[in-house]
Amino acid sequence: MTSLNGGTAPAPPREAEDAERRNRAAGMDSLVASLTGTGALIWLILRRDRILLALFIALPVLIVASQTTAFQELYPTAEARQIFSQQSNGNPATLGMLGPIFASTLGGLVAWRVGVMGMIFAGIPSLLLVIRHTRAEEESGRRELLSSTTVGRNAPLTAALAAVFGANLALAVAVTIVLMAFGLPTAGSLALGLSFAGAGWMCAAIGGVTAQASESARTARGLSLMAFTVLFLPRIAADAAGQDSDIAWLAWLSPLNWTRLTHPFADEKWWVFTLILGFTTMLGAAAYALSAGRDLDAGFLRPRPGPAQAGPGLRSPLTLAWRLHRRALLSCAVGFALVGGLAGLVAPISTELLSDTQPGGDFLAFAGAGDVGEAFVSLIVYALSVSLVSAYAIMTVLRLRSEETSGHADSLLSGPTPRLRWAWSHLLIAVLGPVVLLAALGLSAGLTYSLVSGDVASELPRTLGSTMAALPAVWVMAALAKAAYGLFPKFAALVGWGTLGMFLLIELGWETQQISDAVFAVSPFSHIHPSTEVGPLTLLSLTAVAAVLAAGGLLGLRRRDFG
Amino acid sequence: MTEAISVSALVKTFGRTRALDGLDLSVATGEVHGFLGPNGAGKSTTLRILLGLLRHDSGTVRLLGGDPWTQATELHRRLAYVPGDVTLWPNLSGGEILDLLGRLRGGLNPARKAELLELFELDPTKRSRTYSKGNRQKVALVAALASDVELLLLDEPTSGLDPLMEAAFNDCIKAESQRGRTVLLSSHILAEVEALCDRVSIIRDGKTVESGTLAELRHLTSTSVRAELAEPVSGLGDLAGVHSLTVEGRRVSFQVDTEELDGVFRHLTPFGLRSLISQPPTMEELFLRHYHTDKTPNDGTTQREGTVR
Repeated sequence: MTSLNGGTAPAPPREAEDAERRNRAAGMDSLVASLTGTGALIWLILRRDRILLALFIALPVLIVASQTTAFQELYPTAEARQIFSQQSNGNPATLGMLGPIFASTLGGLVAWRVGVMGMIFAGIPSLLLVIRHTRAEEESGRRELLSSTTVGRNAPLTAALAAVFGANLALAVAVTIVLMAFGLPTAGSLALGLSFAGAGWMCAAIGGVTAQASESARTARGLSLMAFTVLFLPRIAADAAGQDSDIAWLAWLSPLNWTRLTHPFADEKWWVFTLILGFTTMLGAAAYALSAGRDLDAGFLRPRPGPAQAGPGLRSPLTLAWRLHRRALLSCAVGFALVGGLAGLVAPISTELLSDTQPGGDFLAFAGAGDVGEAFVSLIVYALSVSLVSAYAIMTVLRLRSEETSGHADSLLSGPTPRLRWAWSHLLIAVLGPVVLLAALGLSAGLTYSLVSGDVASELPRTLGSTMAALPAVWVMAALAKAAYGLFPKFAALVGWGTLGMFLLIELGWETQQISDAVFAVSPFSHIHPSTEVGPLTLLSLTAVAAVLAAGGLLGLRRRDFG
Repeated sequence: MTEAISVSALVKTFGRTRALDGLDLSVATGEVHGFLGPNGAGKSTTLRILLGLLRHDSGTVRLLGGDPWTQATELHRRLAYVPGDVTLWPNLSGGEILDLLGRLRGGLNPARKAELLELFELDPTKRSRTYSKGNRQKVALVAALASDVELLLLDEPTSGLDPLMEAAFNDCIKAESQRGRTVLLSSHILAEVEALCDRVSIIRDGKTVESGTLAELRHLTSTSVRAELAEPVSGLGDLAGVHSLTVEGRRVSFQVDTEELDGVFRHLTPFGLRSLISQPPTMEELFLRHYHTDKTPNDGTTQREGTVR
């Protein structure tokens, strides 16, 4: 200190500055301290999920490669691609599902075909992975063990986000390399690769927020899937209505759709990536803010105290299963009703649109429909049934496995509840749940579509009927998971989700004519596809297959060791 | 006297691991039977076979006169089980779970439930997600004790309970035993075993190594003796059954096999006994003897550590 200032003088500005710098340094130190151990935790995530992460990268790469090959073979000339693009862009059902084609080059077609899939294949695993390594770890008590070592407060969240962001970046690089290997332009390849990663990043951030906000991983998963749907829906309406319609701006309300709006291979709009990064940063910051203000194990959606006594209804394995499944079932039903209603509302617009252009006879045959609106509804309903309703049914069956491994089932089975009665309680939900979901989907789609088109008496039953026809195929998927659960319990999840993924990929290959009708026939979905005539015999045979598989599973369960 | 549980030469393998390797267990109706052994000895596997959750590979198992695998459901009406690691449905309250489990067993006595809730100081309105380990354990205990069954299968039932609750649990088991119920109690808490059990079976590496009343088991081990004599003692080390001998002038301390006790005292008396402290083996000594492996010569496996406190 210089002697120019008297001892009693107020602190000179320099001291104040020093203090501020020290404070800032201390803040910096505590931030760094709160991240202690992040590296080790990232390593742990990579070690635990090395197979999952490899699949997470491999699957989209496989899809991109196969789609590029398909388009190369199907539409080798610029003229063929031009015709195909015009047809697709004039077809509201295709528009609703995949959005418009921005450029009729090979790259443009590939970007269009894999765009929406990228949102799903990169997005949903990303949000599930983040929850798996944050809230699920905390709920299981493993986080407590970790946090007692030199692991900073923010390290677990940071590690989960960093690992998933990194995996998405690796995915982007892999997709870019594959596209470039096909000889596609570098800029477009990079943009498409990054748009996959962008979907993953945004979803990882969503997972980060819901995992911090809710006290259980199950709730977090439900909330983030709901958020995913909400962020996905506006683009269906906007894209189906066409780029020139009044509601085209809705496409920008779907942050997930921003990944498509980067226009890979179609004069890339790089600035859209700043929106994606902004959205990710904003939600990421929200996750950290929530994390900073809470205790270990706590959330912001606090459970209320429960009743001291069970209601009169809670008295059997079945009522318990209902209690465990009802929230998921009811919220899914609401979700499906919303999507169905939206599809029905948008469908008539498509009829107007298509009457201007040449309605593709091929398309109507593909959709097995008399007019375009009908085709639109039945294709959307079909797509949702085979993917999401099947996923619900599989998830419900696999609850048996998680009840078994968590030890919950022991409480019932050490009492006078026979194994099969317990298994039936969950199985019944897996059988009837899809009925509810398909009914919600079919009724709301049929109702809105028929109200707008003005023919409730005939349209409503028709739409509902064609929706319900998917039921036996969904049952087959549930029964496959059930058979695996009974016979090879350790592989139940792998078989359940693996078969669904395989059948969806087969369908994709079939649509692009890489896979023959004979191979597609292996998939239960082929028999209820809108393009086929679905007769009572088909439905009965599928139901019989499901029954045999489920019976095999139950038999296996009765004979094997439990737990 | 009839047997509630009778198991002989029980074998269960998981892949290449032989979890149970010829286990024998016999529990008489109406007795409290302690089931002991180091971690990984096969206690929980045995209980899960008795519950019909696992299927045994060979040997015989009878539970309440029936076959636990084929007659699981009817037998379960007559027994209650408390697992060692209680997990409950996280979004149900403790009270709901108690009622559900009771109703599945055909109804439970509400007065008895209220009494037990009070005794164990358990709040039934909490969601089970928010229960601590001890409180989850209490839910399973109340559910088991409130049910009117012949047999209680308890797998380390007091883990996580505080000493007051442990005492409450001990009182409950004594009362249940007086009502004629049979209890199979797997436990590591030796004071609990000593206070409650009529007979014990000790298992290690999937085999029964000892079975009998505590008095019988004590007899098989040694007594520790400290004595002060009028003159320095000689020749003690040459006697059969004397171990860990230390001599400090006229003070001696040693262990002696219980059956050799008489001869040793005859040898000491001529030296002039001034003071004598003789202690029966403590529970810890009794069990550590079995938990620490006395390996058979051709047993190539590594030694298992005992886990008795």
